[in-house]
Amino acid sequence: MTGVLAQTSALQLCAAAIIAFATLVYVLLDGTDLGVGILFFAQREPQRRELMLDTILPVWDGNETWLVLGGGGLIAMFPLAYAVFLSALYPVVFAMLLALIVRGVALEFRDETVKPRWPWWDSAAFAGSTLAGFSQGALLGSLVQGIHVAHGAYTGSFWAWLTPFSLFCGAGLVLGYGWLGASWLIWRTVDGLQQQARRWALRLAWPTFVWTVALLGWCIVRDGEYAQRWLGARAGSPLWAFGALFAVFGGGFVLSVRRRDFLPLVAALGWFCAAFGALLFTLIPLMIPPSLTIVAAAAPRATQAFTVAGSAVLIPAILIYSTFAFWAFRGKVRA
Amino acid sequence: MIAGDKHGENTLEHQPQKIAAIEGAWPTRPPGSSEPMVVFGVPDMREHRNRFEVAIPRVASLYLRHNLSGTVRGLDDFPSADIPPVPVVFFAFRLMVGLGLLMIAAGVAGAVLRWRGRLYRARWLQQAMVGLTPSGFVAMLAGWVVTEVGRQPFTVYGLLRTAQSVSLVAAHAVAGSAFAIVLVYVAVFGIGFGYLWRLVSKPAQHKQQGPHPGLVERLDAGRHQHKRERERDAAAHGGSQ
Repeated sequence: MTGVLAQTSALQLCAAAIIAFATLVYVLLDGTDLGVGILFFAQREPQRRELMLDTILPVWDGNETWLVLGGGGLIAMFPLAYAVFLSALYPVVFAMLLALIVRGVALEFRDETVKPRWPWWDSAAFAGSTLAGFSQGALLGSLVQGIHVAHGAYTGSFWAWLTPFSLFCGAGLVLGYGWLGASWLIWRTVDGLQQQARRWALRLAWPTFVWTVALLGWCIVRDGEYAQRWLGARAGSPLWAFGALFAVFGGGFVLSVRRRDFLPLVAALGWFCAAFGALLFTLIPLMIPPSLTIVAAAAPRATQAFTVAGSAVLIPAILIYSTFAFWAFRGKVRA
Repeated sequence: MIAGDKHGENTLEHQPQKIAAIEGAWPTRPPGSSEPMVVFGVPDMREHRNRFEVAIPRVASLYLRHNLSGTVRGLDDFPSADIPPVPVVFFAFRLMVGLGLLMIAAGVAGAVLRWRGRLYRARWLQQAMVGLTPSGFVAMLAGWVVTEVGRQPFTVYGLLRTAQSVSLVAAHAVAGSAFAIVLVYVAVFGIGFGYLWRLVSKPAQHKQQGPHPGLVERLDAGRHQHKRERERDAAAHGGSQ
């Protein structure tokens, strides 16, 4: 691993870090608001659905900026990875995009309907959120299980991504997003709805814990190269390090979920950060397992330098306006 | 129009086949002989000429070379495998420019009527404006067709052919996703248009309360107060400013 990494230039690492950062921020932010949409399933009361929606309406579309940034950055800085990933996962990516469109429209049009509300918009918001989360989990699973590349092109079939493992990842991420959404609602709501959110969050936390550990275990058991990274280096010390992180965030969540407002969300986001870190640790120096490395997928130096320089301006700008949006709409949402 | 002229010069330099297709220029004319502007014609890809051609001599030299005798490389100068489908580019360009000129004419007419104080009574212009509503979109799409079809058969001009850059995803999968996108967008825009229609078709009523009752009064009050403060300040400074 160190051998291959040593061949990766600082610029290529920087470019890869930008993609990773955009992906992580996307998962944390949009994962949370997709989670609120997923929880529509558990919420039968129209007034409470309204409140749940009010917490995410000002921010959900801004959160999707990071998906655009990640996708745009990938085609500019790692065109080969982009081409392979989108060719191999074409139906999944399209399902995700269509689900995001339907969901976004459902959220915005919902208020335009005359009363009694056309109940389809709520169903569409739930279905879109769920399918988007499921597709993203399936993308994750497909990436981890490997995409076969030869002579700079995808060589597998249209349905090669479809395995029990990728479906498992999809289902798990839906629950994980639901957990993030419930933790967010604990922070942003009060009274009955908040109590409900606490129950949901606790109920969804355990499956997410199991899912994360199972995913990690699958990587170590099924793949020699992944196992080498986790167990080979310093007698499995990475395993202990990440184990400790998961224990801190998982324990912090379970201890705070009944009493505190903000801490459960911090712990849930922390868990996702740790899981994302574990994913990066599993993959690096590969960009697309089992063979495409960061170096091999990289665009020419000048292209990467141009895009990295642009990102150095763009990313802080997006962070500033997003933070402002969250700050402007801060505080509890009440009936 | 200045931007368009610059754009044309740039395209002439880097994508000469596109300009030749836009102009319907088949043969390369001898240097110094001038280039006509083909106002109308039906480009024939097989016979390499325009049917029913109506052309004005020397005008194309003026806007392409900025003189009265310049010429451009005609389509016959290039291998037939390296030129775009000429009729598409030719007609899309005329649609775009035609609509552009119509919109400019409408703007000028509006300015003239405003100047003469007849704008709000000129029913014909109002109706024409309603008719021109989609012209911006159509012109933009037509221009996009000129750009994208005009650069065929290349994706990277002169280096990478479209046939070589096609993805390995099966054509029916791409067709399926395109169909799904069209379906979703038709539904989304259809429903959105329905909601807009309902909003617009509800006539405003006398003394109807706006979405923010009292907002105008508050703003006015604020402005008056502001004015009073400014006057007070001016008085305090003894008019020294």
